[in-house]
Amino acid sequence: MISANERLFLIESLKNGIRQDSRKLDQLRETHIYISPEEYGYVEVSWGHTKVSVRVSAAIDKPFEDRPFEGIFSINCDISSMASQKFDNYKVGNDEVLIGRIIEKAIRRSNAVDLENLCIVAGSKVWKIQVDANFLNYDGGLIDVGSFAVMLALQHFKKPDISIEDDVVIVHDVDQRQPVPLSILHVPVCLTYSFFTPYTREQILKGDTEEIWAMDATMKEEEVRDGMLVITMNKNRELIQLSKNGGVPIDASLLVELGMKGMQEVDRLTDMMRDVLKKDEKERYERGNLKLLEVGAAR
Amino acid sequence: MSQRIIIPGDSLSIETEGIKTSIGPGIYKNPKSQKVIPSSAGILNVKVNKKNTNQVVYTDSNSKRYIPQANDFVIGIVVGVIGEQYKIQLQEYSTNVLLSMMAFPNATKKNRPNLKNGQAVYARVSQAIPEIDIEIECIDPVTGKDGGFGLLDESGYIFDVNLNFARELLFNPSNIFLETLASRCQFEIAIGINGKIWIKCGDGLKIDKDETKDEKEDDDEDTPRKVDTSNSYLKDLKATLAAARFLTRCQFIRPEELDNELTEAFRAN
Repeated sequence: MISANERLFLIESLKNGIRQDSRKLDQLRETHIYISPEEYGYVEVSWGHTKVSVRVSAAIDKPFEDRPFEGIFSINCDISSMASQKFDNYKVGNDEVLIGRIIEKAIRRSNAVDLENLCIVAGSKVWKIQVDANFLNYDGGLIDVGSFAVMLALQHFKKPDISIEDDVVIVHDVDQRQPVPLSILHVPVCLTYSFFTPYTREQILKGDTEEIWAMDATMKEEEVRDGMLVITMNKNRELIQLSKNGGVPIDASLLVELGMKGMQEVDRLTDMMRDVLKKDEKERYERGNLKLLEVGAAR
Repeated sequence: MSQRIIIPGDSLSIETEGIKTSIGPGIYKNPKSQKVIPSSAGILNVKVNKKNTNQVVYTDSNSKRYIPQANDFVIGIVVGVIGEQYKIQLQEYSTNVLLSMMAFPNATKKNRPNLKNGQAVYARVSQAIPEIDIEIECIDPVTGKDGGFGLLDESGYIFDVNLNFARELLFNPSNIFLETLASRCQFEIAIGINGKIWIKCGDGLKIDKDETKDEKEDDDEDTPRKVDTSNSYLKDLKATLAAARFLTRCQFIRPEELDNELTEAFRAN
């Protein structure tokens, strides 16, 4: 439970557009990205004090019978009490389910990964891609950070190359043949808006109030907020998901405004992912001396 | 003075024969063998008095989980009432402690304090036996007066710090953090050893008294308190938040960065 002092201070300062960590209302926290230099598909993202590690792994499995041409893709979100004592290790709370579902809806159900591309032999062998997201520290914004890290890891991941000879599938070692990246159809980015209202229910229903909204709430702000909205979009200006589970009612025009505002952040985050991956790719290329292996290289 | 890190399982290389030994946090005496051993990892502190008759032994380390000890000064948040006792939360997601309604100065059965959920109190841990509920009190047991304990009003901001930082602020009279902060603004502070700090710069958040009274008569709990919106209140609000930001940052920086961090914290407004 949060003290009355903190609640009062938070609401009052938000009314005046001030946040504790001196951010602006529409400003995200600083992001630090660590990409594993050795393997493909392991990233750690720190977003303010929130931290998440994501690993992507691939295995060959039998496809579902009703979908013989599609690979299997699953996202597994684990929020242990290492992140915060708020989360129980043994019981799965409502928050955890919601966070997992929203991330899954944003990425898996929006077809961010091309499943047909994961097919090896129709009906018998497909790639099974498993994403494990572990939240290491919690300071709000698990949905935003989680989906960002998962998308980054998916774009970074490369599965071993395969070839088929007489119905026998050969998996080539990563050192033997260049591994192949997943086919990512689009990059969804989740943005969470938190709503705060210092007004009573009657005042809200009468409609002479204005909601205070803030992006990327910290833990304390999440405790105080009266409602939240998750907007998932991609760089192609497609709206993928809108999720608002209860909380204060908001104006339709505000929804449009927030969507428009969010586009800038979506662009920025998508570009950030691209730049980080490009940098990593370049470093690997230089470290592995891959220039020597190119077709036109002097040997 | 040599500083040594010890972990549980190490032997304490201190003399306990012929010298009166007081053990502090992190040290355990085996009741059977009367041997003194470390029970938590940290820096070993041994303080011997000049005559070589008394010594104090304890370990010091950083931790997040607060374990109440008798005579600790803590800041707690009221989370409920059981009979004649308040349930007080000293840390999020940890076991609540009890605060008797009689543990206030001049409290009687008829004249009880009226605390609401969410309000904060400054109190002393009066009893900390692990097997039973821990009790705190808002009264100085020697004088029977408030002794600085009691309700912390809502004009101040409460934030969390690491336990070792709270100890440093509370027990080290020569610490530089509060002095540095005082060079910038005027403030009132209450430090709980459970890692909570209540701070107020200037007048903090001013709550209009008359409005609050009116609402109490209306008995409408949903209506939030009206807040004084004069221009100076914003300044104090900002200063309070900045001071909290500064102290939070102080946990992680080196002393030479202190001034820089101070300007940074206050500039951000």
